[in-house]
Amino acid sequence: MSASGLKKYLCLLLLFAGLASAGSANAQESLTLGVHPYLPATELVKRFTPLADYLSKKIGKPVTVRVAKDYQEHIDQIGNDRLDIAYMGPASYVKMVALYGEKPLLARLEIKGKPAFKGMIIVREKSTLHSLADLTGKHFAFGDPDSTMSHLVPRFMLWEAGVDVDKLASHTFLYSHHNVALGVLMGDYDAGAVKEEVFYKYEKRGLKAIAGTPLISEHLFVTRRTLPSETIRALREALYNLKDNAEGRVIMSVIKKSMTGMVPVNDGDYDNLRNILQTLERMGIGL
Amino acid sequence: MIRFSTFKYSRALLAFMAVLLIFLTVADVVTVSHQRKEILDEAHRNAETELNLMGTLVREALLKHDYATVEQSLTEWGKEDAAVIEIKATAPNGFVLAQYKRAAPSEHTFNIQQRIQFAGKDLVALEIVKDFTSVEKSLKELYLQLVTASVFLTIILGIALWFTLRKMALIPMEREIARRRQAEDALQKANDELEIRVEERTGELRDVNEQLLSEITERKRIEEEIKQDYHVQSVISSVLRISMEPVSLEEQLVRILDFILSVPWLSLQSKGCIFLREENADVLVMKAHKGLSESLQGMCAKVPFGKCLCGKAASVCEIVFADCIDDRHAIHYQGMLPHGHYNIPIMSGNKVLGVIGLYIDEGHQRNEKEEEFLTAIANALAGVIERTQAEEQIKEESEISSSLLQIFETLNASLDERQLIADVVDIIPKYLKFDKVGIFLYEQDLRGFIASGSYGHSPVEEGILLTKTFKEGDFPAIDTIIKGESVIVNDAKKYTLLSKDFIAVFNIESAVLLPIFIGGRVRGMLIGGYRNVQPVQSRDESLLKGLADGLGVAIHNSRLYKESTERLMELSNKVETIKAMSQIDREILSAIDKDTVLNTSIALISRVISCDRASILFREKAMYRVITEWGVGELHAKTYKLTEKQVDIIENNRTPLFIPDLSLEPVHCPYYQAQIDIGIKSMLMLPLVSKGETIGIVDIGSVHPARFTPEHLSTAENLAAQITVALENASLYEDLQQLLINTITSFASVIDAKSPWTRGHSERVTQYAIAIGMEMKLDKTALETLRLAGILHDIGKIGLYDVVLDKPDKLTSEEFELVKEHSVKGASILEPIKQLKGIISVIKYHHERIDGKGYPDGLKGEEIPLLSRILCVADSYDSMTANRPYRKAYGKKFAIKELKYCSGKQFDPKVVEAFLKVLDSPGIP
Repeated sequence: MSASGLKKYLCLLLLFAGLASAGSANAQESLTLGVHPYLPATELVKRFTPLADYLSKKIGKPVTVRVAKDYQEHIDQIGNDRLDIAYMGPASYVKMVALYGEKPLLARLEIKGKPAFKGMIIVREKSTLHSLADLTGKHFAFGDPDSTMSHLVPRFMLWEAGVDVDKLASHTFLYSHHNVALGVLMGDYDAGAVKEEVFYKYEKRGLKAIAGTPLISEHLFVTRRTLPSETIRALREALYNLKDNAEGRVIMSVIKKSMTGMVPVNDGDYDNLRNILQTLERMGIGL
Repeated sequence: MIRFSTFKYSRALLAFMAVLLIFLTVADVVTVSHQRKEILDEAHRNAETELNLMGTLVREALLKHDYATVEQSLTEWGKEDAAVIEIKATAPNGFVLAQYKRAAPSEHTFNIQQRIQFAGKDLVALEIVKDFTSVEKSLKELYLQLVTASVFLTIILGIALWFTLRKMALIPMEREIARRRQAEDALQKANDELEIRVEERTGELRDVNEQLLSEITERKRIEEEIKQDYHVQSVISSVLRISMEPVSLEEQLVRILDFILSVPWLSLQSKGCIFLREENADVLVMKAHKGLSESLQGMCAKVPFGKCLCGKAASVCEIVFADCIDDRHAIHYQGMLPHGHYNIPIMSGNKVLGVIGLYIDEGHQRNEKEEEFLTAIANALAGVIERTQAEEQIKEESEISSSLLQIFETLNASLDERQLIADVVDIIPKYLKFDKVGIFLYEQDLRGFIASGSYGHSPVEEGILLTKTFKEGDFPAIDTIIKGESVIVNDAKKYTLLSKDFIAVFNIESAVLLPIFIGGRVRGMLIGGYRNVQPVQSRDESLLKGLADGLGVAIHNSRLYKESTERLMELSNKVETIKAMSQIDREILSAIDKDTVLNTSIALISRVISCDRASILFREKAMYRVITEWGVGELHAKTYKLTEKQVDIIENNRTPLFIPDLSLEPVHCPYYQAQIDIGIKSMLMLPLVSKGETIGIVDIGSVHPARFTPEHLSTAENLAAQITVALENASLYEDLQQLLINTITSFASVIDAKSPWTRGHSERVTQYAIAIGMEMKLDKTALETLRLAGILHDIGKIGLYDVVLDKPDKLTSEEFELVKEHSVKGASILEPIKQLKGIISVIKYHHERIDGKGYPDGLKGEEIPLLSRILCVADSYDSMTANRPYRKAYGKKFAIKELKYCSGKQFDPKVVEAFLKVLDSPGIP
């Protein structure tokens, strides 16, 4: 236990050292591809470097990957036009637009052929709960408080169905979709909220869905307002073309295994999420 | 060539081998089976330990609701441990949380199970199936090997025996014959050879003589060379020998310098010095010297590259020679004698490690041999220095990692945050060389960092440090820390990285400041500082960094743990409070006297609020008396005067007092002193307020300082309010009871007084009855009942007095029947009064006789209540000794005679006996 603990701490030390030296590298004329820290930084750099290399080949300028310190820093940097290309989650995008206004959009992800995803409200297979209204007085599990599919959108749906958290017997944040699915299966919670793919992964072990969230547009790439329009056009072209060749498909699968393409995107695609988040914000819940 | 005839021995030999083989095989079987049992036991124990370890891991993860980790780590566990066939974790509802199953089926398995629980609740059941096929297989191999070895051994032994036999008996004889024949042949041959040899030898001798002559001249030349090399070698080997001694590098350099200066054939003055290069700088530092004046030692303590002769030697990387003091000799002093120099750079590859500076007489000729020799020494020295420096570096690095390991062990040892920080402070002097260390944690409420652990500060400094909050924007270093980066301050007063306030409080000149990440955010900072201006040692810095990272993770863990346990405690506390409150409510409804209310309340307080002492004090004018208490100390019935300030809070404002540490209270208060004397350190004092006035105090104490929280206080306030209501009720009830009794008593005495004949009768009867009761040692309650019964015993005569009782004549039988009713009538008058329940039967039966001839029910002996029997004797005695309308008093003597006569008929003999004893005592008429 203590030996493995030590190893972890030492790795952490190394990681910090690595980050410190990476931050200062910024050559002239090069573009920066920013990513929010949804995985360890070394892992993210590994996943996004093939895309950066591909883009740099297409536009003839070096592209470097940069991982933000936290989500807020990522949003602020995009907002202040300090990143040339940025990868964003839907909720972060909505928040960024609310804070800094619109940015030119490059493309959104297409996962297994679909440019949008949804979440599920799950219960045990043998549960007697059949609708959201049945959840009054029950124990409910959420994922991360900042998560779109494991908290924010489901929270909105519960509110809409008249079962806000004060009508629940309890609600708990388990900080991961997998924990929510397992927590419900274990019987510790009567119901929970997870994204679709997690629901399908655990469905056979005894889960069923009693409601689905509306479809939410996928993760996307944005760019800074001040980038020359021919560069933006070239970037869009390069991203759309990824699915047409074997190399592109490999690049995408490194970023996300189930990713099948990059498709055009409009700010309007995020309107439904924006409405939900604004409603939640009025209730005092938000990012 | 040689024939043997020893086959007759072979049968015995074979028999011996067979027995030996059987014996060895049996020994093998026993050994293997014993081994098998031990190995299997060991495997079982290991599996249990493994399961326990797994259990701890799973429990911890489940308490954090981290199910995915449980699933993942159990599966990984199964994959990594080849001996595991199946791992299964099943939830109480039958859901299989994690399962790992190995494909390879095995015959030799065992399984063990464990239920993981927390706070009496089943979390999950773990089951593990382990395989010991490999054990069985290796045992089988071992068995085979042993048997093979036994067979082999037996065969070898047999063969050895065979050969020994042969050698001892036959071969020596054959050999003796052969040897004699060979000896004869050899003698002849030797004779022939000798003649040839003599001729050859004569020729050889001539050649050797010539060779010898030329060798002698060559030897002489080499000997000369060796002699010189020997000097070089012996000095170098001495240098190396010195370097192997377990002393510091500087000590070694001093000895080596001594050694160089003592080489006899070098024409050196016996003074000189050795410089080493300062780390990462082009400066020479004098490390060893001999024969130099003190002023020169000072002047040449540090010499930059290029300066003076020594500096030149370092910068040009060549020997610098001077036969007199020329213009290159930059450092001069008064009274300097003429001299020359050899300055030899100590080189490792292209790197200058230092310089050897040596003195020669003025006019000394540059000598190639000397230079070669000195260069050789410098090279040997370079090796020594490099090795020593490398050793020191390795030593330091290994020390850092072992220290880190121990620090992390300490960090893993506790889940309590305070304890954790205390532990860290304890180990700081063991691993870090900082003069001062401070652990600061971010306080959300204060929006800044405050000290939560410190090392190396005086109590005064520590006190000041604890009152300070360092906020964002206070000084540049703090802002850097908040960004998650570290700061190194080499000279605090020279730069403005730290505020003057901070430097004054921390009292340091150089420091490292590191952020502590807790849960991925900067939530603390760790500061290590030196009292003097000095560069931060890299060893200290890397250890401190490790400590900061480890501490962050450990605090994060401890907070998660604390949060979950606190939530649990809070819940159970609330339940307990609600339970206690409802119990007090019930007490209010059921308790009718103060004592019960007080005793129940104090017991409940100690149950709801974890404390070491609780007491209730009642106000008696300006003093407070301890009425009831629970827990440590005995202050019961003692009275205390409160200080003016306390009176102001408790009586005027009617608000509670919150005393986190009694020893820090500035005012001297006798009650506080009494609490301190019995070991109480912290207290809550709450006023009992009835009708807007403080009637008493509830206090709750603990033997630990700062034990109580605002939650405790609000719970205690609720309890105090409930207790007050309960006390008010009890006192209302007592008042009511007393009022009723007073009314009836005065009513009875008014009626008593109406007739001159019966005036004072009830009082006297009461007096007698109580005297008898006391003689018979009745308890307090019985005596109180007796008192009331005595006063009220003739209450049934209301309405009789005027007509009958004052009649001077004898009563008619009808009138007597009326009189006889008075006992029953009295009982029925008092019946509706609940508080007088106890005395009703006493009054009803006070005219019964123990022989059963009394009225109203004709009860006998023990059927009649004892108090009625006492009352009967007292009543009769007073009737006999008092004047009546129809007769005069009989007098005391007659009455006593009558009592004795009727004892056992009308009266209880025991009561009469007691009364007779009482009558002898003074005070009874």
